[in-house]
Amino acid sequence: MHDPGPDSTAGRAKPTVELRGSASPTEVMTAIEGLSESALLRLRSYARYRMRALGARALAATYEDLLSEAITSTLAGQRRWNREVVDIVGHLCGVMRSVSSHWQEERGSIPGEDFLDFEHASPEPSADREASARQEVERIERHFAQDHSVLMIIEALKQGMKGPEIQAQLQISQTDYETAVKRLRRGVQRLERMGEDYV
Amino acid sequence: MFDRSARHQSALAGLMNGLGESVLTQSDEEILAEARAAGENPSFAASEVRDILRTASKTYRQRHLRAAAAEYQKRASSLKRGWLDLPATPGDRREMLASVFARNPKMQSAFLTLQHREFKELSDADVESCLVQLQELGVLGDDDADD
Repeated sequence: MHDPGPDSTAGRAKPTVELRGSASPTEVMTAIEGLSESALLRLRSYARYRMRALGARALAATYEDLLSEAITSTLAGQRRWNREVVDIVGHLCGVMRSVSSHWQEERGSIPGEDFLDFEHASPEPSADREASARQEVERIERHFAQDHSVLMIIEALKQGMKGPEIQAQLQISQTDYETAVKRLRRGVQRLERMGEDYV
Repeated sequence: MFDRSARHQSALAGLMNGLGESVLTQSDEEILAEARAAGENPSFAASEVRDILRTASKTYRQRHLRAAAAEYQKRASSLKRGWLDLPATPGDRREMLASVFARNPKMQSAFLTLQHREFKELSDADVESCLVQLQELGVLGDDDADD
């Protein structure tokens, strides 16, 4: 899948500008209606991980909010989908990446919090958010205590490393890396389904 | 600069964002298999996602309609409030209208031409109607209420 590389002005209103290659709202909706089941589930999965990355900084926002923001800003022309460069799934994931990063910066660095979009949420104090994030990561690590490969990948991801970099660092093949990440994804999903026991 | 006070949040973000990126390289079959492994019906789960996208789209497309409805409600509410502010008796309302017309002769001319009659021939209902229309046009203000 192509890297959509959306512009990095998440959350900022931009005028609607028709550019060559940019899809119209009708074309966007046609593409949405034509999405396969796997494409829709891929969007959901991506949105969920991006929101889980926010931890307590997600406040009351859900993956549905992130997905809705991606489609709305695309229809409004604030985020242009260039069909010649990327498919609609790649585009929406790119927008979600940008928007959630913006939320992360906005809610993580301003004393007193900035949660105007989700005014009914109660922000956790910074120390509590840190504790909450630490507990979540530790539980995942405990779950994989016997899986050395996954633990090494977790450690690398925590440091912000990307797939190819991790493979090179750990000297593992792409197949081995993807197999371990698959175990990691399924384990994290399993822990999530355990709900309260997990958190 | 690395923010030590957010070390664990940063680690969690790195981990989850990394898993998010891994989703982009999964095959369609893997995506569907993971949903089934989680005890989900992929068709049902996918239709829920489609509904989210459709709802967001519908909300966006109806934004002008909602704005117009809100504006209508605001104007209707304003008119209702304005009507209550009008003088209570027909005589006072007639006096108020006369005062407005005295300050706006062109307005008087326009209104009376529309009514095809002289000011003194206006019925109490006509006077009320004129005041309401003047309010709607934004001609009446606090000064008129004080008259």
